[in-house]
Amino acid sequence: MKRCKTLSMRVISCLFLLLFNIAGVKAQQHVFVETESFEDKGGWVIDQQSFPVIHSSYLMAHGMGRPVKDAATTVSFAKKGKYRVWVRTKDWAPFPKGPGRFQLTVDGKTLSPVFGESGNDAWKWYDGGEVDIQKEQVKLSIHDLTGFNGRCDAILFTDNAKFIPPASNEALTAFRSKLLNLTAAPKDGGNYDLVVVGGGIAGTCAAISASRLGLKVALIQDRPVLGGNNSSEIRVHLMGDIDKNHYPKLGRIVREMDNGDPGNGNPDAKEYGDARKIQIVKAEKNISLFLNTHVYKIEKGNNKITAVIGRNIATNQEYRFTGTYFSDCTGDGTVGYLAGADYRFGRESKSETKESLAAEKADSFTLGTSNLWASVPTDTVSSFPATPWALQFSDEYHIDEAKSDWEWETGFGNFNTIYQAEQLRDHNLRAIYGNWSYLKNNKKDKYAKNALAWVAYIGGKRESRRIIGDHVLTQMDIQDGVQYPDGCVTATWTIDLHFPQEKNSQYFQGQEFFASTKHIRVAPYTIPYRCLYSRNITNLFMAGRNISTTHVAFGSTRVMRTCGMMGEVVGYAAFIGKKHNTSPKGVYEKHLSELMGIIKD
Amino acid sequence: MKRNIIIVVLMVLAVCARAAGNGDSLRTRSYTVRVNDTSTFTLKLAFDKNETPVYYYRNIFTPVCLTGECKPVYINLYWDLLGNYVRYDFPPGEILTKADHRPFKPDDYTKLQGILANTSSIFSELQMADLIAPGTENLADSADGKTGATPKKLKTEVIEGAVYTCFTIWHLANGPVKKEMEKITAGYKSNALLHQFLQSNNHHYQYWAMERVMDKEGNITKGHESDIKYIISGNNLFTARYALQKAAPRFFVADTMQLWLWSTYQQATYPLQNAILKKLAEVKMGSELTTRLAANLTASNNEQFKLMLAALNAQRQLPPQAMRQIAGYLEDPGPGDAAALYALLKKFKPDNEVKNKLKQYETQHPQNEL
Repeated sequence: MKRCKTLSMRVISCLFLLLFNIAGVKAQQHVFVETESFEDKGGWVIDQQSFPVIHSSYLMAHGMGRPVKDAATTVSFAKKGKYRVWVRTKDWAPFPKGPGRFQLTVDGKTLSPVFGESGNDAWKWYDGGEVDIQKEQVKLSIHDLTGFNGRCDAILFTDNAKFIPPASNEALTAFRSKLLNLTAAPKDGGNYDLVVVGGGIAGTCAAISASRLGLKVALIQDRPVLGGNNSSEIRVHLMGDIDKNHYPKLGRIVREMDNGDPGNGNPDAKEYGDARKIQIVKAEKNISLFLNTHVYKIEKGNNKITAVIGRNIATNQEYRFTGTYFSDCTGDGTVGYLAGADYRFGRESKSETKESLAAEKADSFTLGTSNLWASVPTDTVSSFPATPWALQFSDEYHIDEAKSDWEWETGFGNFNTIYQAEQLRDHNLRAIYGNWSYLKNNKKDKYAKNALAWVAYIGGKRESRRIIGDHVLTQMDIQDGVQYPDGCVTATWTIDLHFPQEKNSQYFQGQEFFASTKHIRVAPYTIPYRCLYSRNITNLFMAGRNISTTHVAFGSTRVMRTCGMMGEVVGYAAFIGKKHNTSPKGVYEKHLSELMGIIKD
Repeated sequence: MKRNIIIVVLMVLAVCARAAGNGDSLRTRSYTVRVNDTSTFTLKLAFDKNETPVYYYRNIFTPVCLTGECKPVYINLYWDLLGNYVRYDFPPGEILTKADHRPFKPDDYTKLQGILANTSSIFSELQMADLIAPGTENLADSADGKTGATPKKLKTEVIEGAVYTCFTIWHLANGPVKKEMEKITAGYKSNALLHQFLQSNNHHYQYWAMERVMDKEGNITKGHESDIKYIISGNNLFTARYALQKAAPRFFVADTMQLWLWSTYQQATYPLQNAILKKLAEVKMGSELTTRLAANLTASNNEQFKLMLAALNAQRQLPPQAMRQIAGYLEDPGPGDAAALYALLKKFKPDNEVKNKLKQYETQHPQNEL
């Protein structure tokens, strides 16, 4: 069997000609197109959030109720003739039929099936019918019909009318890898002193901190912007104080990243300073920045990570990054998880941690994920369609607000924040659109001249895995103000553990999307350095929400200025580690005074 | 506000008066409510020309005080018959002013209505002292440990320069006087009032009246059946679902009721449709409804397929026509599940046509034979 792949600068498609060198067996041709690789995305956006589940990014028509511009690309066919078209998609809101409808156009002809309204929310291949290909290069476009988050993962053309693309994730992953030639060795992403995975505030600060001490650093981020929850894609403001620090030096890099406080969900994207954050990083000569790169695989030996493999979320090109130290700043603890680091997910029990605020029984409850949104006043009256597929509201219960704040939050154990990230985001969208539709159509006095300006399609996660270090920070550490010798990052935020708002729970039990909290005030305290490295993966640091804490303590450490300072410390520790050729743990055991010296300096 | 205001209706004065702020001459009745040992106020109940109570109102004069300095506020507040705040207006010539004596702007008055109508306002958790708590005036980032409310949040929920005015009026509008109005209204309970409440589209009225026309088992007081149907087929999902879930299954047993319920299902929002399907699992369905349900078994999605299947499974027997309909889906169950259809049909007594289809299915799916 021979395979060949056609890939040119202008032709973003993948053609596999499977030639069976067995007499009597007809050659079978598949042309496989990943939508995220389309040359022209039009108004469609790339969503990589479901990568841990479907092992791919996809294109989504996030038009907030207004159809988006077509996405288009050119596909190469080595052989003319009849092909069957398969489209991989889903109905994201099958209640009973979702709104994410779209059509496919091949060589100027629109295929008759309308996709995205099957009533089935599983990712599946749908038969798009037969096309007659009479050109070597054919234009393929996806035409959105609603602006309500239709989505398309991939398109397959096959000249074997009986061929059905694989359905299961495992089989499809293998199929995809084969057709995209992903099994070939990834490109060399370089060798570094420190490989930082995750370009949120914590990861960016870690990269800058290490680079300024002369370390060669890779900063790998799975989105086109830096800042994570503080980027314009999510728009959460920076919290936690940096002016009460035990060691005032910490927080300087955080301050550079801070673009002022536009609040949560500000309709003006520029307020969050995406471009400025990237400029700061690009000004560092020791940092190699890899945006749009999702790390999904690692290599290791003897409990030590040797490399991480990242895939570009648009081109699917893979890169391999080797390094001495790695820092898991993914939020989800992805690197630690892939490497087999000890971790926790959800709540510990009171009997396990002895914390008064812990749950009676351990469970998988986590804080939720927010998709913030905002409307803006306009000069003219505008309309918004009915959304029968969304959550339903009435005069009795609706959220009477023109923009969101942190309370718009879904999760709370109803959804797994990693493996159901897509459903979780989609539930948020159903709440947002359902409520907005109610306000626009039933409270016209107040909202007729308001228009949705922005709805986040990237979820702002609060909690997922927590990688276990040599110390697990607890409620008692915080409330007793224990000053360990390695206490470094000063945290000031309250113990802020969200739960479903009582009234929201009454109306949407099991489907809550609105949160409450009870802030437990704390005096400024320090987080030990031992919370910032894995106890069993010897060259793995952590910074951000996935450090070593209990669920209760995480309620206080999770805010972004505090996370950024963790990153600063990780950068310093990596520097000390390299200097003495030792592990993160070795820094604690043998060079703590030197580390603390840098922090105190 | 946690003040223990004891409100006692001292006396009822029947007077003919023109209701404040209303162009019509409505008869009103005054109730004197005691707040504490030394103060009382007058609450007025307005009636329409049929002598039916319509709303409550109160003409208020109250000082709004801050650090020893007080200013008078004259305002009229209006409530529905269960004490839910509705609106405000002013005696002629009266306005509201801010701390620096600047008058409210039109937007401020609009915002005030929103604040007063918000029963879950931040004010519900606050006392006056909280508004001048240390740190609050600085509007810092850190949170207010006492309530979970951030000072920033407070800023968005009040009218700047009129925090104390908002706070004072909110507590007058949403305070314990609500319970007193409920008590007074209970004294006017009649079939006519219950009809009016149930048909009102005011969900407070509807819940209140449903508690009075439905017993614990969901049996409905004779004469109010159409009121309950009105609610189930109404626009408010939440009252509709409540009425549907609370009503006894026997309410839906008659053929006419079942046809009405099916018609309601077809018009209903998705969550109400699901509630109806869940209810059907408790109801003995007639052949007409069963057949219609069977005909729509694969028309929706998997969730509704499962709910319909559960309703069909809960029946003692299925009519032959419905069984044949269901057997027809064995080859192509759409969003459903052929194995589940097969199991359903095996549970009942199939006619020959259905038996043949079951055999075909068994031949094609030998693992399901047992």
